[in-house]
Amino acid sequence: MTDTATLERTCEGTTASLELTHALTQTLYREARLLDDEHYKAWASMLAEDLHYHMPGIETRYRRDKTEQVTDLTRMAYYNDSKPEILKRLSRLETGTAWSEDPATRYTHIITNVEVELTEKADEFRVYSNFYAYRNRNERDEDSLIGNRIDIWRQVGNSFQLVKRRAILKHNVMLSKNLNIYV
Amino acid sequence: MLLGEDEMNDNIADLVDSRTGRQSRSIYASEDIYRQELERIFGRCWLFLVHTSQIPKPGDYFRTFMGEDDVIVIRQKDGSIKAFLNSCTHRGNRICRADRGNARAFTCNYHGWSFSPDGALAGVPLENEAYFGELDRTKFGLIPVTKVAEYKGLVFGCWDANSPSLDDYLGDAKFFLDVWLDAMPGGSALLGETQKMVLGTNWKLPVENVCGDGYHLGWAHAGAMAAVQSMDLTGLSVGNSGVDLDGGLSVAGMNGHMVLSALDGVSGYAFYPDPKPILEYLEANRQTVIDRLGEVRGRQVWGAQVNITIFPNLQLLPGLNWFRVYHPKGPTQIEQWTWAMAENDMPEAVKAQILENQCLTFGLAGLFDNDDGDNLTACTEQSRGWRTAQMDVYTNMALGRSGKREGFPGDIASGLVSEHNQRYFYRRWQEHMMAETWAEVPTYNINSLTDEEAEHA
Repeated sequence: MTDTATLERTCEGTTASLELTHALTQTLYREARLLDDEHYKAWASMLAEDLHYHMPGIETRYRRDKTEQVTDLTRMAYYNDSKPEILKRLSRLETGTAWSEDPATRYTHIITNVEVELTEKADEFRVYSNFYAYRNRNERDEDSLIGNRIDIWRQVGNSFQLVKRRAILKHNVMLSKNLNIYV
Repeated sequence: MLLGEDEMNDNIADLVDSRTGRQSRSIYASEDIYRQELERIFGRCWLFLVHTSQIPKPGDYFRTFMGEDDVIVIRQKDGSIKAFLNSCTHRGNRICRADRGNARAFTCNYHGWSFSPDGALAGVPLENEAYFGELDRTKFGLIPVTKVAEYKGLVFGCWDANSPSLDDYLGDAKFFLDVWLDAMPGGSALLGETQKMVLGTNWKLPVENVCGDGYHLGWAHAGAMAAVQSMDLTGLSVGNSGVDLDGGLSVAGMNGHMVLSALDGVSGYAFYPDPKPILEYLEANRQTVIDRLGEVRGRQVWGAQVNITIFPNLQLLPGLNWFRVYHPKGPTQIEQWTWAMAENDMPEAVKAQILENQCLTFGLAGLFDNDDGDNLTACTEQSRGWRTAQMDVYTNMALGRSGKREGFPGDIASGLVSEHNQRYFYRRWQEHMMAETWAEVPTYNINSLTDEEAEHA
């Protein structure tokens, strides 16, 4: 983990150039489009081999309670996945027997508030964004997952790979019957 | 309109037939029946509140539900545990709004009444000026849960003063609970924060799914199993593509509690992509567990896929290591709360792996839960129609094919694929729903073992 840039800002982040910001913003949009279209193989090719994909669960606690809820990896998380684990989740869809995924869920990912920062590693960039992931299933199943993301993206040749992602949902009780979605 | 009591009881008698395995679909949707469940099941049975590991220190509290009643469970200065309604005795406001934490007092946001951890009313603003010193504080303490008791780390609460003791309530289910709670000398713990989700299902459907339904596993979860299953075990040849009746047991007839158990001592970990560290832990400690629990439980059950259901709404799967409570929210909705389970003697790396695997398989984003949520909600929704509401559904697989099994308590059907346990679940439901008091609820622990037999089994 120490080999890659940290998700937490170590000092006041240096904003990336317009060109780099544009390239990474386009990368986020492309990723969202691949997820909307369920092009999971293409999406997986955007994930680095040393990926850590983290979505912590959030408890309701009083302000005076300083328990660290987000960065502590020993706490419950909806996703706390390596790339092989993500691939295992995706392999369920390819079995042809994931009945609950047929008919398909209809997704829209909206990505906003993109900020790109340089990190201590020349080829890795910290990218903040917000997401709105909308799901509609069957006739009336509907939910909206909204939250913040912090990513580390690594430049590989002319493209970028996702190395770390922390996606923070705002729910305490999840108002949906499952999470079959990546944000 | 609510039915009269006699009319309701006649109705309940007709809604379930355990001999033929029939249930009326109205029990999954009727508001009248739901109100009676809140009184006669959730208002009467011992309900799981908290594991002692979740509130280790004095002042530690945990919020949960008993039926639809919001309850605070709190560790006292002397180490004991009390539970109270989370409701101010003045105007009824919620006095605690956090999931958990540590508190020296709970102060109501509305008028500032303050309650100490033992429930006493400790402070009332303007007590002398506005109440003229005439308020009898001793009459306005938090409403305590009538009985709170612990079994080896599991804390339960009960509203009914006339209930049997927790020990008697659990009955022979303790034989199986001990496979987690008392297998190793260090005891047990729940890991991770509560995973809460809303499901549009009647609360009985997830209970019946886990209490006895090995039939769905190989079909409903075929995709998930193909994705994560790492062992090829005879004991797991479940589902409707193949069945091995020698590989497991469906155990019921224990005061409404049920168990499904494989008998291979390892298959609980078959859905871990990398089960090696846990299999090594099992191997290293197998003899200790055999010494503590006997051959049958130590060699065959500990580590196997085991589903334990404590009536009405607690389910735990030692092996797969998830622990779950269903809180009813009306006839067609629940909140499902899940934690990971561990033994305190497990190495930290194994505990971390358990938490992570629980999130991968049976968490909100878990591969298996993705399948179940859809099926249970659709079973509930499909009971709404005028015609469907008049129909019955059946759990009539392997009727009359149960009996005693050497070394185990309970009325036992062979194999994990049976509907034996579901019939006992609905039988218990009906017994409670028809009884006006606890005295009318039968107690039965079929084929009970003596303590000595259990230990030497």
